[in-house]
Amino acid sequence: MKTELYKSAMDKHNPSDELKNATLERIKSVSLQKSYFTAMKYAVGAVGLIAACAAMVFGATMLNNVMSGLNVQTQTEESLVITLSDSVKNDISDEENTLTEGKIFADENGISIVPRDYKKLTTTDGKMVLNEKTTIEDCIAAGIPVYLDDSESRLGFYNPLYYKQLNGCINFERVYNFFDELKSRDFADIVICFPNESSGYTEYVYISCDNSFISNQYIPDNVFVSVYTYSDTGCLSIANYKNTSFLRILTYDYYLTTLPSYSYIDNYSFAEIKSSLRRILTSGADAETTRVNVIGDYIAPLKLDGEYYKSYIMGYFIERCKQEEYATCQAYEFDLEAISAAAYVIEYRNGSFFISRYDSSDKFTATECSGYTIDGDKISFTGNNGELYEFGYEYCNEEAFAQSAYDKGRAYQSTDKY
Amino acid sequence: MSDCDMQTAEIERIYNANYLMVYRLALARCGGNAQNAGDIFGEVFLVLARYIRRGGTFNSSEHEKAWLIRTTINCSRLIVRTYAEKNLPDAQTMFTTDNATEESDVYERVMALPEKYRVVIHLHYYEGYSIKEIARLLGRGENTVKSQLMRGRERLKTDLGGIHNEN
Repeated sequence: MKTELYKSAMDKHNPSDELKNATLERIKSVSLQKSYFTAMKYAVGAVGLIAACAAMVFGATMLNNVMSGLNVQTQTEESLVITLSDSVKNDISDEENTLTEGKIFADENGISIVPRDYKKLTTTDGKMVLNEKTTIEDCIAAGIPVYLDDSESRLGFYNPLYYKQLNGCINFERVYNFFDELKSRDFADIVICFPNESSGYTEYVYISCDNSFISNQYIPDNVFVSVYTYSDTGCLSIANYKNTSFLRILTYDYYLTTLPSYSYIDNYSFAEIKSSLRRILTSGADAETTRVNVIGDYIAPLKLDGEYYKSYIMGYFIERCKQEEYATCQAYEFDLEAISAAAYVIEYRNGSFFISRYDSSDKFTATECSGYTIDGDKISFTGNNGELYEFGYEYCNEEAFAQSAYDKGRAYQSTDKY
Repeated sequence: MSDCDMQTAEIERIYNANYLMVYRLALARCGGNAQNAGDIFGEVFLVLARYIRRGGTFNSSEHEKAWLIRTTINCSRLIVRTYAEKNLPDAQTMFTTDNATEESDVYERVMALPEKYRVVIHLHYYEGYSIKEIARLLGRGENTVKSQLMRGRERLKTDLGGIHNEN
């Protein structure tokens, strides 16, 4: 009766009283903080604001209008009730300037509302209009509050503002903080701003991660951003080629199982991303080379501008196909000239391969393949429609792949999606 | 009773109903390391508290339990990786081989299995989930779970013999 023995042994393992008490205390402290948030969320939600995500700029006049319409009825440790006056509701519900989503903050300085869609934000008296040509410098000059890394004072929200400063550096320490936040919270967001030196205006990329999604809100034309969420992977690429800055952020569930209800950054991968980003930011003229290295390190198999990269992941995938009835693998290709990209999901099901291709214009194709051919460091799949798919390949068995993942922080489980 | 009070009561109710399940799954997940299991335990209920405070609800006690299992698995990933990263002594070395009873021997052998087998075995034999349910909980295919269960049992059979017969 081995099962009973295991049950009996496990039944003897209980959390200590100290652990139980500490956990309850912790829950209690969260509850105070979150009740504040929740009350505000509901209050604001009543007029169409959803305190879920945030942009990072807003008009000072707008703020004043909103502030004047807020009636903070009670503020205790347990609850905060906010109502919006009709005038404020009218102010923010104009069809052209609908403030549909936003985040509210409260601290010792009062209450502020940050609209999610900054492009639509204007004040009714027309004193301040923010649009896609508004720069950080404009905001600062106009006295518009720009929040930087204020996580500690914002009721558990995290609303850092990252921007490429005039000297050409993005403060990636703040980006790191963002990921650190994700480890300890179930909600975080980040805004990355790229002042575009050629056009003269600032471009914004907005990313929000709560416990179930990653999204991008506003994508400037010359910033390529793609979010891959299929196969439970959140993979976000941000590239601003014109300014020779490149950022690639990978977020994925470690085991790439179902769409993560709780998204963590892989520590190992993140450490490498961190150092790679640092190289990019400090390399200047060498950025092009570094960019390639970053991609080669993390996304494989990969085809970049027609060049294939050898991939342990693809090698491991093939090995898995020999042992399992089902396995999947993902591949990415980038064309820096055309600023386009494509992602592939390669599935193996009972002896057959299926390749799904997604490109940056959301075009999707799925093809069954007759099989594969390995030629040195390249693997080719021939689709039943005659299409040829090629990827970098490197032989890798399970042990070697696991060691590689451990050593180098690669997505060990990238092929382990069932 | 205010909304806040009701949420607190709900959190405590869920905590009391599930804390043993969460702790033991965490223990299985991290190979019997009580310290890591404690970290996971705390994190899971922190996530729960946030979820409830944000208005999250559960459709049923089954949904509630499945959510906690899923969150435990997710939370443990970071803990387990941090554990590995620090190169701490492996949990398996904490067990003594001549540790008296057959009961503890079985426990230790299960805890010494690779994680992917260990969790599946725990959910199947201890929590009583079917292969189909485990597949859904872990986001893995049924065939995968089936083969992991089989391989885990084979390993145990090699070491102990017999647990595979307890299906």
